[in-house]
Amino acid sequence: MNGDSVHLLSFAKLAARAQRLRDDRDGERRGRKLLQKRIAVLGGFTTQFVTRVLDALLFELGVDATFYEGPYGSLTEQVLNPDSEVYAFGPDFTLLLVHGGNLERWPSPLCSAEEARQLARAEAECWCNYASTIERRIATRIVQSNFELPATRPLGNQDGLLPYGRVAFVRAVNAELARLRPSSVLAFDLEYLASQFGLERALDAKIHCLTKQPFSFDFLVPYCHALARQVALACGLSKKCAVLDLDGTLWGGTLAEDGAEKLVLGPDSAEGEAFAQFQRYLEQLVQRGVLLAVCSKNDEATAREAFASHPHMALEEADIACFVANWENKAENLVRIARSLNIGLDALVFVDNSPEERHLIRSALPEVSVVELPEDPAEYARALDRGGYFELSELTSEAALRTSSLVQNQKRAEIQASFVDYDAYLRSLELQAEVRPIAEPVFERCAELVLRSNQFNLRTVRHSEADLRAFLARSGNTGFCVALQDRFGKYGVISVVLLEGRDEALFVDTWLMSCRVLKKGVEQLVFQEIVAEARRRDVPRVLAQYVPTAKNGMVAGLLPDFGFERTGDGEPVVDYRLDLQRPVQPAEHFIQVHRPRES
Amino acid sequence: MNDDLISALQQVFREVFNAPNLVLRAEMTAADVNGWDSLKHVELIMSVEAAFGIRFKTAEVAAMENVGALLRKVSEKLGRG
Repeated sequence: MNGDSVHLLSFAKLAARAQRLRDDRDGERRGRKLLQKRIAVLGGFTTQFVTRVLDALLFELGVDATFYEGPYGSLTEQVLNPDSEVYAFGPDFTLLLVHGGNLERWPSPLCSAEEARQLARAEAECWCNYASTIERRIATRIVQSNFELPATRPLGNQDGLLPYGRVAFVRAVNAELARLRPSSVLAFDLEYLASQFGLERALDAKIHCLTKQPFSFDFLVPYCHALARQVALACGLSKKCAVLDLDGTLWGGTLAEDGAEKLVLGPDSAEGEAFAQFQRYLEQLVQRGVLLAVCSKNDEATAREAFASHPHMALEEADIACFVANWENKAENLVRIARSLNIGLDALVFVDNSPEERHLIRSALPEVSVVELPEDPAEYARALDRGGYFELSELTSEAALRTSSLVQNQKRAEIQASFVDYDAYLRSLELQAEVRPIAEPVFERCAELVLRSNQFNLRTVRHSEADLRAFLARSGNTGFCVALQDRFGKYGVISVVLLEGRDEALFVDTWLMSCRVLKKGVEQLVFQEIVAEARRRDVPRVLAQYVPTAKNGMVAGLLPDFGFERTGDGEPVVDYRLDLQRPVQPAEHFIQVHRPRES
Repeated sequence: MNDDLISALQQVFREVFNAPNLVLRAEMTAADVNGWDSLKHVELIMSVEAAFGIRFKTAEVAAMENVGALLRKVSEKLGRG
């Protein structure tokens, strides 16, 4: 059973899968890479059904879980009693699963809007308090459910509109929960899930009476799948990139045969509108930081041309972090795409309307998730969305920028491949650098580099921000940093140098650089700046040192490469000297240097 | 009793209990089948409902003492004697 489609199984088949897993867990574990996690499940209802299905789903996602289930009705006791079993269990994850029936406070009839609001806040605070109590006592990731809307409406149509209506109250509690919840707690939006599935079908009164568990078995599948995806996300198992086919996936028709103008895409036909809607959904994914790649059996120039010229394309070439169009085997292309984007194969989601291609990828590359696309393009967006591949904990601007910086790196790699002469390649990059003082607005970034650079770092002196300020304030000391950009984009600040004024010498206290810009000429630029500073001070020598660590082997030869001579027999720290009264070897680079005027 | 009915019900049991070789007998009770606890019983009844297109009332679900009783109930609901 392929892990991706397991959430499409019926409850019965999933429960059977769960049973097989319990009967022969060691056998199932063989040959699989699994994360071991301890999961505590505290429920306001009987949780055994949830736990069984969750076990099977988590296993398919790569998480081998050991569960502790709080006895029925014991949620409060388990949380508030410091000696309870849940704390002794030491869970990596604690799931707080509730349903509408667990709400303790309901507004009384005809109470005012303000009273209802306060009641909702009090209720939400109580539930948030459970989460913070747990977090205060143990280190665990909490997944906390909110409440589904009621299945019945005593106030009829007004139940959601009057402040003392139950539907309105649950919405208010959920809104307060979202506001008050500690940011370390992973929220689980039961309200949306139950609505999406349909309250009529999600809640089963008979099952509730018989088992004290309110959800229908059919609903338990998407419920547990969504829970499993939250846990997987927190384990770092979320996917990063959707790899898209073109013909039949992003548009109807065959590009090679029909030509770009005859592609089925856009408002002129119902089918064209379906593909356009799918592209708009993908556009939304790009905006929140999901990577898109293209993998198509087509001529590359023709495919790119269609992207650029077709009037109804919602996606642009710039949205595609890696564009692969050729006549080769798609499995090999996926490997290439993963390598090019510097992510694992297990971070890819394959989206292709061809059952043969999907079958190929499933057999050749089992770590790649394969979406079981339905036949109708109108359902593509929903199928991809339901898979829950791209859960995220919070949107950071860094994530949203991911595509653009990756596209930049991809373009850099592409042109490097086309150059045989490395110098010509460097010249073509149109590198520009700013040499600036270690001060606002880049001070924090420099301090961060001082604390975090491990590899290209001569002495690994971990100056704190205060130390850094003190160093620069001392008479005779100075420092500078280098910000780099090329024609594809900016790298930001990537090198920091601290120089100590000594008697008749300049000592290099710190010389570090980000590994992202190795061998682009920054090493040479920095060397020239250091020599220039020494000459400005009219000192005859530059002193430096290499302090070996487990991580900075790459700079063992840096100083000798620039003509520094070893002094003394020190081990393991090596002292060096550069005599400026002798000719200093030229250090050529192709970077245009700017010096912003000091304020 | 209808052989088709017994055979179909046996298939449901085999799937629910993940026991491909299970053979139904009228006297069989929860004690005879591995994993047939009260929660599994509800799962079993829901599967029977889905398989035969019938519905049991809440009270009926708890009150079946053995497989024979279940068979009779299913037969009744299908409109056969």
